[in-house]
Amino acid sequence: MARRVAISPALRNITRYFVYLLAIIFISFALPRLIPGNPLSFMAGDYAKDVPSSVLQQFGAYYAPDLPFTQQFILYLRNLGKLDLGYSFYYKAPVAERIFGALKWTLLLSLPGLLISTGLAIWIGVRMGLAANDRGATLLLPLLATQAVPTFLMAALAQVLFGYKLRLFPASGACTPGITASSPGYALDVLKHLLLPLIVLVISEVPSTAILSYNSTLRVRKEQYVSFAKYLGISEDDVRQQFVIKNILPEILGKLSMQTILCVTGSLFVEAVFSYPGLGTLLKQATSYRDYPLMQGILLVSCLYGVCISAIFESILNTHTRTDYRRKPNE
Amino acid sequence: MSDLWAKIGKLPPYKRLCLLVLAAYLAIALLAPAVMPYSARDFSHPPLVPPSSKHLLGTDELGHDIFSLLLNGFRFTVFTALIAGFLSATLGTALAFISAYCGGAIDTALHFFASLFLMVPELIVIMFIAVFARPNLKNTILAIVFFSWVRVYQIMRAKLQDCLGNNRVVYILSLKGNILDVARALFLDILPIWSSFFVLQCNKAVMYETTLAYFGIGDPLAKTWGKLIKAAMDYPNLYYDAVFLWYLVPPLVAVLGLVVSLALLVSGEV
Repeated sequence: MARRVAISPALRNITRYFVYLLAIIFISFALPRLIPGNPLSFMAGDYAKDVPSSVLQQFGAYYAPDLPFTQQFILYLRNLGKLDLGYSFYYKAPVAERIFGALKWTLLLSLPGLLISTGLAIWIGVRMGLAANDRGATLLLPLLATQAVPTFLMAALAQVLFGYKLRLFPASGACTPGITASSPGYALDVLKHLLLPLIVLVISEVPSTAILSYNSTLRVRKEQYVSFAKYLGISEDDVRQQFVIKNILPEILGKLSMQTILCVTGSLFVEAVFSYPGLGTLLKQATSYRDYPLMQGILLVSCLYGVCISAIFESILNTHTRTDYRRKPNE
Repeated sequence: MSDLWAKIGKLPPYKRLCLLVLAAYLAIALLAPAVMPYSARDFSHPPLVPPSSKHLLGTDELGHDIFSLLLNGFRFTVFTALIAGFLSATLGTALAFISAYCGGAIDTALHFFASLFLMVPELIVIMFIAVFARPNLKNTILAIVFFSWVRVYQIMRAKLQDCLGNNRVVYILSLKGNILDVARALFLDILPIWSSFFVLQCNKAVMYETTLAYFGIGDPLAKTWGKLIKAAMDYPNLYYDAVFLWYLVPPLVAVLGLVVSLALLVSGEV
C-alpha cells in the first residue's frame, strides 16, 4: 500500500505531462485549420498568387487540405516524427532547419538573461525585504512601473538611445556582417552585439521576480527563527544567506517556471527589435510575410518548450521536497 | 456615490494621480473626434513637415497629421483595452465560478486547460491567432480575451473555493441550492477582486495590442499607437534632425502613461 502511494504521484505526473504534450501537438495541428481565414482558404486566396507554384505544391502536400480531418492529423504526426515542420514560403527552406538554426541565438540570449535576471532579482528583493523601516517599499513602485512596460518598447527605446543616438553599442544583428566564426575577433564581436539586447532583457525580467522575492522575504522575516538569529547577534549577511534566501527559494522556484517561459517570450520581442537572428526575428518575418508553416513551427516549438520547462521545474520541486521529507527521520 | 469618493480619498496620493491620468485618457478618447484637427485618413498634407501651428506634431512621410493620428489612437487603444479587459476578467471569473461551484469533472477539465494555457507563451499564441484570422480589431480583441483569462481564473478559483465554504453560502445552498442565488450572494465578495483584475487585464490588453500592432498584425486601417510607433521606427531618417521628437516620442509617451498608470493603480492588490 505504502509503495503504491510512493510511485503513483510520479507516474501521474508523467501521464499528465504526456497528455499536455498531446494537447499541444493537437492544438498546433488544429488551430491553423479552425480559425477563419486559415491556410486552407489561403490556398485559394489572393496571397497565393505571389507564391511560386513549387512552394505552393509543397504547402499542399504538407497540409493536404483535401484529406479527411483524421488523416490530416495522422499525416501531421508522421511528419513530426520525421522532424518535418513544413516548408517556409519566405526563406524557401524547410521550417525545421530554419528554427534549429535560430535556436542557438535565442538560447545565447535567453539563458544568460534568465540567470542574470533571476540572481539580480532575488538579491534586490531580499535586500528590499530586509531593509529597516520598510524602506524597501519605495523601490516597489519603480519596479511595478518597469514591469508594465511592454518588452518590445523597452528594446526600441534602448536601441534608439544607445544604439543610434549615443552609438555605444551596435544597434542590430548578432555580429558585424562579413565576420565569420573563424575570424579572430569573432567572440568579442558576438559579445558586443549581445550586450545591449541582454541588458534590455534583464531589465524587463527583473521586476516580477524581485517583487515576488520581496513579498516572500517579508513573510519569512516575521518568522521567529529570523528574529531569534538577530537576537543571537548573527551577522546580517549570514541571516540573509542562511535564514532568508534558503527559505524563500522553494517558493521562488515554483514561480520560476512561469518566469522562464516569459523570458523566452520576452527574448523573442527583444530579438525582433534588434534584428537578432534568433526565433524572434524569424517570428517577425513569419508574421509580416504571412509565412504560415514557419509560424506554426515557431508556435509548436515554443509551446513544447513551455511544457518541458514546467515539467523540469515541477520535478525539481518534487525531489526537493521529497528529500527534505526523507531526511527528517534519520537526523 | 459618496462612498466612492470616500474610498478614493483614502487611496495613497500616487494612486489618486493614476486615477486622474486614466480619467484624462478616457476623456480624450471620448472627445477625440471633436478635438481632432483633421481626419485620421486624410493624407493630403505636405509630408514630413516639422511641428507648426497648423500641424501641432508635424506630419508623417505619407502626409498624415500626426497629432490627429495620436488622438485617434486614444480611441482605439482605450476602447480596445476596456473591452478586452472587461471580457477577459469576466470570462475568467465566470469560469472560476463554474469550476468552484460544480467541482468534479468540470473543475478538473477547466483546471487542465488553465494549466495548459499557463505553460504556453500567451503572447505567441495570441499572435498566431491574430495572424491567421481576418485582420480586424474584433478578432484581435477576441484573440486577446481567449488567451488571457487564465491567471484571473486561477486566482479567482482559489478565492471562490474559500468563499463557497463559508456559512452564508452553505446556508443558501441548504435552502435552495440554486447557482444564481449563490452567484448573487458572492457578488459583493468578488467585486473588489474582479475590479482589480479588470484594471490588470486592461493593462495587459494595451501591452498585447501594441505589441501586435508593432509586428504588423491586426486591422491595417486602425491606426493604433503601436502602428504609429512602428511607422516611426520604420522611417529611415528618424534620427536625423529631431524628427523622432514629434514622430516617435508622443505615441511612446501615450502608451507608457497608460500602462504605468493602470499597473500602479492596482499595485499590491492582486
